[in-house]
Amino acid sequence: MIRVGVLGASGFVGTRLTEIFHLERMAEVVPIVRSSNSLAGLARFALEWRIADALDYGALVEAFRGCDVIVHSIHGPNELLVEAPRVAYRAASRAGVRRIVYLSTAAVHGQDPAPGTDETSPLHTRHPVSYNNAKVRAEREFQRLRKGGNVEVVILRPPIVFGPRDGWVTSMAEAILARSAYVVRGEGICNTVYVDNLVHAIRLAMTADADGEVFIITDKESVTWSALYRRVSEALGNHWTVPVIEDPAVIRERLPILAKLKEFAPVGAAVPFIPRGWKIAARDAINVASVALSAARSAGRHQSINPWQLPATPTPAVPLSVALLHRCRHKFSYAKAKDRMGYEPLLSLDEGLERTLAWMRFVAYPVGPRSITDAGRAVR
Amino acid sequence: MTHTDAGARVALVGCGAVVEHIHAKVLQYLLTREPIAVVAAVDPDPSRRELISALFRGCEPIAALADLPTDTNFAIVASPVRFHAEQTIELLRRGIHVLCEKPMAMTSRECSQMNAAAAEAGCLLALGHVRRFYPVAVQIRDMIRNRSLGRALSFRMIEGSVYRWSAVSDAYFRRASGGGALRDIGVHLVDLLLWWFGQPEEVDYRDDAMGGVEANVRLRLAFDGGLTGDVYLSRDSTIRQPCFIAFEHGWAAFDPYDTNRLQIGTFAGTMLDSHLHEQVGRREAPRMGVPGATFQQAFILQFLNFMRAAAGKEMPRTSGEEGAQSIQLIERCYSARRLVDMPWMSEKEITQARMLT
Repeated sequence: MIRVGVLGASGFVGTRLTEIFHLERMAEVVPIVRSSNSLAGLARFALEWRIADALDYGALVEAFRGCDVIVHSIHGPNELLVEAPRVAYRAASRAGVRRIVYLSTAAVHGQDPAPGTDETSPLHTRHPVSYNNAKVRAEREFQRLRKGGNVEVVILRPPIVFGPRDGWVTSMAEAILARSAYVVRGEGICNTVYVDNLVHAIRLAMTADADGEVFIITDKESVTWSALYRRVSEALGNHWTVPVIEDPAVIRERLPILAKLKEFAPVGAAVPFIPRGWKIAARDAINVASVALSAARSAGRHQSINPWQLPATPTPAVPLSVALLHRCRHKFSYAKAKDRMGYEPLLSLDEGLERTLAWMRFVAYPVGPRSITDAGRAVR
Repeated sequence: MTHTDAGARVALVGCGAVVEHIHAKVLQYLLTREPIAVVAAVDPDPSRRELISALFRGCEPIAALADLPTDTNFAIVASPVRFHAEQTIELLRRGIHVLCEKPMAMTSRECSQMNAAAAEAGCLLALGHVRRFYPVAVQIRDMIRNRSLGRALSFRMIEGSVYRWSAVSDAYFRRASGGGALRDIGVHLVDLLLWWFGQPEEVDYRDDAMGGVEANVRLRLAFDGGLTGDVYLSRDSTIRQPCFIAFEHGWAAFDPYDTNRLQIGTFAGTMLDSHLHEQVGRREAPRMGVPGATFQQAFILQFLNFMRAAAGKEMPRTSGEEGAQSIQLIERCYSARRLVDMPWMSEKEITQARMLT
């Protein structure tokens, strides 16, 4: 039986992957987590887990030893996402790992990609959402390392992954229950992949003749954001119509100033040559300025409240990434994954939603036992 | 004058995360206000006992209880639960009052032995069920007893969050440690339910342990008089629903992590969202005192109660006998254990899960 190390096993995808692989006896799973704290969910099974930080080369070599494949599925700050591939690849090489399956994201194409976008579309690091840029850099690093190394690499690009234990869907439910949910424009496409379908793709990627390849992995069906919100709202027994906002105020991502400067290529390249004392002085000055600016903004907000009005649900200001996602015009295709790995989603979007809603009932959300009664309505 | 009036000479038994992040901080605060000295930090791991002993002047790092200073008169037992009984009994036999962290022990038999040792030695055995010091828990107990909103009809107790506690090692999650969600976080809610409603008549218990220790628990309890309730516990998912008690004339809701916030509704169009404060002044002219205890303050109050109870000045908030009742109920749950329904799994997964259970 193939032995798979799952780096980031305590995350949403890692947990479900471990559950499926272990219970369906698809592979011998070695969960790898950053610290003991992350073991609570994985400890349901009698598994030989390993503890290693994603940037600790020595610990990773030990954790990877004996594994045929590593599934790289970590989460964290952008700096970690960019640094981790180099360390993992070197450790995998040293430990004799055959292949790394890297979980990237379809967001490397942006939240609102142009129609026709696929695996051949060129990537860039000028996205207004810094996470996208970090994942592009991580992919590039894996591909660069593969060219000079002996560990195979397969990259998967899932769009929005949903399923049991997923914070995304519970956030949606929370917003619906609190009647603060909204949809921007409404007819945008939500590119989904149910977590079990992604796990199926990972399993195929472990052995497929696909070294060095990149695959977009999605569900088969297409669904609009409005339809998806309506489905979840109805499942919660909520007869409230989620409002559609046409042109919301958009909150642009506020990177820390230093991170912003580093994102600017000439500054990033110069950073290693700046004396440490100068860096510390600059950092301190920027921090002081940031605090002062933040306090001034906060004071400004407080002054603007008008007491002569009835309470009302405020019109939300929408994070840029959400505004772009909700406007998405393109349904990604998994044609390449089907052609090269034989990938076909195991479960329909409806089945995935049904199971996710069943999990929500499991964690005490007021989801009725027959949550989805009109399966075809939201799917087109 | 009892020997406790002369001052507390405290030993910290077990130097893991709960001592580092909580009990040591409580004692550091109290050192300057009460006649207290921390005399020993006991742990088989040299780095841990050195770390804790360095926090207190004159505190000896020692590996075993046999080396405790002879004038030790108080101890906090915060070692892994499998050592609680043995260490507590040894301390009590040496005439040392013990505040034992929850859960009290691995089995109710061990609890009986601990209580017997306390009675024989004439020492106090108190339990670290700190939530009994949360103002919200006290307020709800008062509402239930006084029937402020009528009789309690049903409840839904929920405690679910992705585990963040800084466990020092992974031993915490091994089966031998007894460290499942029910025994670990569930013991808090079990203790509160026993404190509020007494022993249940019927227990229906399910969890998701599949060869390891449970991360999710579903417990249904039925009490004398028709009261029923559900308990949801999770260590791998954040459950954002509040705890809820339905009464004849209204309801109460609270977050188990918020010590002094309570929501009350009476089926009118509005609800009360309140922060609890101490009530001062005369009964007919009450005034608002200081805010109710925070999480940290609850631990301080717990230790003060332990000291005063040992000196016979007040009753311990949780006695050894009450601690034993929680363990009895947990044993009752585990003995009735069934695999919880996990409807997102495939048939193949469920078949194998049943085999591993």
